[in-house]
Amino acid sequence: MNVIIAGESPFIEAVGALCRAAGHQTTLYLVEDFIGALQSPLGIDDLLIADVVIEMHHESADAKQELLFALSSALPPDALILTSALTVSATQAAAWCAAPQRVVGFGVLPPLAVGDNVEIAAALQSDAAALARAAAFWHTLGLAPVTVGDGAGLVRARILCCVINEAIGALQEGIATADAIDRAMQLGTNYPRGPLAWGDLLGLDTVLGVLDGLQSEWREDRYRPAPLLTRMVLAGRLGRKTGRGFYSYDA
Amino acid sequence: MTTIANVTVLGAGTMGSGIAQATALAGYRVLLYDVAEAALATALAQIGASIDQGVARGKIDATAAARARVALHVSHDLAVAVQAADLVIEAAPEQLDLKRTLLRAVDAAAPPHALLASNTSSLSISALAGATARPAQVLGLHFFNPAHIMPLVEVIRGDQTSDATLAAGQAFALALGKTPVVCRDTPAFIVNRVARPFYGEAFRLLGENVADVATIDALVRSLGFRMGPFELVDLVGCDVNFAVTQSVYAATFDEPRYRPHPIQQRMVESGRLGRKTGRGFYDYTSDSGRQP
Repeated sequence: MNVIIAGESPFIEAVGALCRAAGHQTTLYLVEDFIGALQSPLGIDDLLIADVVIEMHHESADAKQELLFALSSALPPDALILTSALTVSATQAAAWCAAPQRVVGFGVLPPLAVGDNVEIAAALQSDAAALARAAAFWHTLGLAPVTVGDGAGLVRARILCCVINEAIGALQEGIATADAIDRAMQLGTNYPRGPLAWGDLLGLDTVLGVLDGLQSEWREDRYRPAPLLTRMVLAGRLGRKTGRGFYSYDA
Repeated sequence: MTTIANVTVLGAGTMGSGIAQATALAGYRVLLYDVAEAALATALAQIGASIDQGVARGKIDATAAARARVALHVSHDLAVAVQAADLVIEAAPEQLDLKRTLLRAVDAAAPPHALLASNTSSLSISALAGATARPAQVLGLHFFNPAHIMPLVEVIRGDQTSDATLAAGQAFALALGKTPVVCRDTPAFIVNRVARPFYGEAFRLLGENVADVATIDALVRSLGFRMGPFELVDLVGCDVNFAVTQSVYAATFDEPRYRPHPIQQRMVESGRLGRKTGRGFYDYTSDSGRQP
């Protein structure tokens, strides 16, 4: 199948590697390159023959809307759109698309390996054929689909990003150092990674996007991002992918 | 810095017994105190059995085990228990008035150089220190259950805790072979605070019907966690989990992130407390293993 993936690191690389390993003709676009190419006179030829588009933009809802509208308008009407529902519900994403019945939400968190779960969420607009095609596609990558209800963050990203936000709040208040907070969660309650290192791994732009999405959908203060999280993103300290987040990483 | 040789542990419950065991095995002279003599006898038997098991499994050196048995004594007289203590670790029930009354009595009977530590998981160290005339020598040493196994100790600096007291607390945790993390005196410290959303969002996802208990647990395990939120609550006890949630919510004057969920209350009120009652989010009474 011809697969186009647009979004952010490290998500596009993680899903792209599985697509290529499965034998799909796969093209990756960082979201900024994708929008630029769409707006150029040449457009993106690949879109005209795409069978599946996987959209994984998490940074801002406005940019996600622009991206989904532009790509869904350029795609053949029967191309499947799989939208990452970490920061907006699948229903919201479908509402931004031309032919919304072919939009299905999903959720994965890097690192990603064959055998891992992919959360699948139907948008209110998703039709039965799209849901069946989505499940079949994820199976081709060797991922195990788990159906969950629609909503920003789905299950895993919602729990995890709220934990990361709580750790960032504790760090901002000077309760303990980043290293002490991470070590405490690993040794005191058996977390597989420290939450601050985990935020660096996912990308703090994505973590902020998940919290913004939850706050916007539920309109509840419990999801307000820690100001330090917002500041880290403003300063470009997004984690591993920029070489610096709560920790520093070699380029 | 105060040299610590004699350690008195107050309270022979699960946490106190575990702390006494870890301390005795590290070569300290330990006095375990409880008002209830029966509790002391039970604790001694359990610690002895636990040490035997450790030796049998090769986790505890036989010489250290023999030394620990000799080094561990019990008392139900508080003044006697603390009179020669260099460090007192309080592991009484989580009630502010009870702990303050206890620490006031300890302050009066313990040597002036003794450090007073609390194993509280949710109360303010500064509030406990206020019951004594030596607030600079009061700190938090928060162990995790089971205390003789779990490697972390949160070393909590109260508002008036001195640098020397904090350093002695860290050194003590290291001497027990544990990893100390220094933490300011704030509601629920590090672990119990940062873990709140792990449970809180899981309860909400369940309440919103996004997924069922087994699906949420399986998805969370898929991230590398050893247990999902509902399995863990069943292990800890729904009542204990609900009490911690309520305590943090109250201590932060109703911060919405920590708001308890009606599901927690319903589980407790219906007596489904988890493994200890055979029924929680899962059923543990079936012969064929755990059922959703």
